Amino acid sequence: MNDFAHLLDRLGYEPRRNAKLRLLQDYFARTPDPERGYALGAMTGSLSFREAKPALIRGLVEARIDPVLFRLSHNYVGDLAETTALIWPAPAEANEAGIGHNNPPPPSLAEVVETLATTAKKDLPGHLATWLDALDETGRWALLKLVTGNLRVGVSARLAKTAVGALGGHEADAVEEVWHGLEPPFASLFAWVEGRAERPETLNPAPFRPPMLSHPIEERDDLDKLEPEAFSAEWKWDGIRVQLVGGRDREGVQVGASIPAPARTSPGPSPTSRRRSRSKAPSTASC
Amino acid sequence: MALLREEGWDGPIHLHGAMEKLTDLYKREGIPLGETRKVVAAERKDLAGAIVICPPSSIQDVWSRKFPDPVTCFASGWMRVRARARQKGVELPLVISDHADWPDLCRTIRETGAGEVWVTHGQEDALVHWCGSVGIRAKPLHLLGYGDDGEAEPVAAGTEEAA
Repeated sequence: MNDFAHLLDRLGYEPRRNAKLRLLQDYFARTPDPERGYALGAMTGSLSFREAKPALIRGLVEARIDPVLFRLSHNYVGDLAETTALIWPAPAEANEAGIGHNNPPPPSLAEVVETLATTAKKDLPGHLATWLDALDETGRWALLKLVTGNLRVGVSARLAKTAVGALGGHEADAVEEVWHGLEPPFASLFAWVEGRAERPETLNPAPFRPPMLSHPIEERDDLDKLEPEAFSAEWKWDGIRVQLVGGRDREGVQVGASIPAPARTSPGPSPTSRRRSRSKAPSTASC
Repeated sequence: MALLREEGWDGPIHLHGAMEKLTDLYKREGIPLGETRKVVAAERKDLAGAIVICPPSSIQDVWSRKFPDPVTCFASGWMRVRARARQKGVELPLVISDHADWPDLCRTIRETGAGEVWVTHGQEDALVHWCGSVGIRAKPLHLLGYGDDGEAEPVAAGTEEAA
């Protein structure tokens, strides 16, 4: 979890796309399964577990820190997860020299996600406190962002998939094509890109095919230079393109809720409500 | 600079003009800071891969834009707060400060044995509250001219590492 947290921390400060890609690739290459698969799940918004409410976190801190000082610190820092991560009186840090033998090792991301998926509501505070004790400052911050459902990674799901594909020289589109049949921790996906297994088969009769990225043709000359038999073409109108069966946009995000009219007539599975990835409002939806 | 040397950086460290006098003073007092060079405006484009140190005000200044693809780095206790670092467009925040941190501040107050504490600046309400909770009388002085802004921190130094 600490390693994943430090990746998130670096990504958050890194403005360059290619540098982000390198950070992601390095992480996926050096991190074993299922840890990296859950990290990919966290970055693509595909994890599901019981989330912790801010009041629960506040309660945990105020049992350990003067509530007035905590409130003042929260006002100052401005973010609950970050304030808690900074102010948490962790025994692990005091014992960094190896004095404390009784401290549990910091949890892995896999342990956190798997525990949260099965944990009863009443056991959540106990788990959280134990993990907060064992993690470092950045680890605590990432854990709290994760469990409150506020993880902002600073990379798009698309970029994370690009990094995974690059492990085996695959384009992001190739990852996209198998993506929607898979679930965290994505062991079959990593096995495929690393050449240890066959491409994961999707049982979906209408799998997602990402529409092509459009490239404008400016000059008549350009068109003449193209050999038609070497290309496939796809019509592109203004707005966003959606695959009608499944209702996903170019990055594979479910958009049915934003454009209900075509979705209602779609023969595919009923689209679930999901945030659109683009801020641009669709004027028309080309299908 | 001394920390950079400790970490094994033995190349020259390039300095903004504003850093020169203080650096020279440290050197005259026998602090080994290694080779330092003043940045010549016309040579900024040649400093890829070099470490350049400047005051915080120069980081977002035109001055720093002439370096090739710089990694903006900021050394300050403020860098513990992510929003502060992002606000300044910092890519590599270094949490380094010679200010006392909270536990040290509280310990020092106890060690002085002071019966009453007057707080000049900073987060007065927090320190006054803490003093109250351990039975020490305290009040804020509300002095003018002490902001809690990063700019008021006299020791904050900006570093730029051109990659």
